Amino acid sequence: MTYGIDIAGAEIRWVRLNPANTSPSDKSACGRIALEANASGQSIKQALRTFFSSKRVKRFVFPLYGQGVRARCFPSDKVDISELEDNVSWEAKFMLAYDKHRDVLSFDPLRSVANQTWVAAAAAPLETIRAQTELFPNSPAYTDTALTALANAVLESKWGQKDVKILHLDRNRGFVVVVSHGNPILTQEIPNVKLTDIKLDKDALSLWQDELKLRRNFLPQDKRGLDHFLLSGEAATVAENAVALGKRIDLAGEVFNPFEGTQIEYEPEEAALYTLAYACALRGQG
Amino acid sequence: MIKIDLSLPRRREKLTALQFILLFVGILLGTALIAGICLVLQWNSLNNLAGEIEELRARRDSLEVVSAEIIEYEEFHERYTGFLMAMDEAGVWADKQLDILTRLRTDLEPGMRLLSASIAGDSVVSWVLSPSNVKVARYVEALSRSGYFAELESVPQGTKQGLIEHKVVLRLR
Repeated sequence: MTYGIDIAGAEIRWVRLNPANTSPSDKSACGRIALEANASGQSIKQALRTFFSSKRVKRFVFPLYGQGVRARCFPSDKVDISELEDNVSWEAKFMLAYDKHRDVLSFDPLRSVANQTWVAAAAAPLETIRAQTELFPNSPAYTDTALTALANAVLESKWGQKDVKILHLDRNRGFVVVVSHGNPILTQEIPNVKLTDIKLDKDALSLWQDELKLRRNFLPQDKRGLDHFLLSGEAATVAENAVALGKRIDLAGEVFNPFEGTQIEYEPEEAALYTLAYACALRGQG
Repeated sequence: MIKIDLSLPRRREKLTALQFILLFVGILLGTALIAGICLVLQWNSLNNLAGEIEELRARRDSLEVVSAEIIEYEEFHERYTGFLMAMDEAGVWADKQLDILTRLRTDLEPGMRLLSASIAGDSVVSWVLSPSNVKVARYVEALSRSGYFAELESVPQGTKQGLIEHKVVLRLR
């Protein structure tokens, strides 16, 4: 079984996915562990140690986010597979401001079109990775990024082949991903998020409308026409937020439910909290 | 699905003080145990060696005794051989003297008497009494034919008991 574990500010969210051949009584599950407000690294470590011990967690994936974590899809010159790593590494210097002395780079070739290979690449400072990895008592099976996890959550859902924009918004963090026909064309972390109230009031809606419109400019001209706006995270526990924010950016707004069509038992109003944890658990299985 | 993995190889965790002490004590005990076993084995082999040395020493002593006995035997054997040779030589000389005396007696002419004979080195001096000088001359001639003597000489010494006393000097070949 694989756990996706998302440390989201005041709580730890986890999703457990069992392999297909396990008994029906051993169901996949999800849950939350409350942390103290402004929990220190030591108390997070302690909470994780208790959780790992009680659930006997062996295999897990967690989403990396924060200072300097970035991800992007871009077309790379089509080269021989043996040269792909060097080629992507060189192109990531321009696309992701990748510095080989400071960052760790990972990439995944998605598809080839004409003379180009589309790759999804992510880079993060070594120190950021180390700091977040050391919170866990064991080494993770994989270290994903919150941005690629959010993209994966959409790609693996019914929205995967549509043109959608998803905003994952928690009290202290925010991520925007735009997926166009199976390709993540925009993946950005929104810095300095401080959501005081989960129910977005008029001012907050205006602020986030501006933020989303601003980020629309990063999209190519021919990709700006989107079908839907999806809201995930703590902000999505209030369903009106998704509709109101969608209306502000002229899109049909909806709460994203990562568990739709799965066997996981969950509270419907909390499903959107587990978007990143679920995507990480999926990553661990794949 | 996008497959990104930014995992780092996890650093080895530092040993706690207790783990360190346990490891240290474990290494210490292990080393002491191995050293102890080695010492016992060494002591055992030294003991064996000492036993072998004692055995060799006893054998050496017994060999020294045998060697001394052999030397003594050889000396004795040498002396014995010398003695046998001397006995043989003495036997030969005695036989020769007996032959000479027998010859001196058997070659006497009728009426002649052998008074005495002495053998010293390669010369024989005999004293005889003879009724006549002719008989002494025949006697000396008979002796010379025996092949024992190289030079023969008879010297009359006067008369004794009515017979002529002669001193016969003979030189052995």
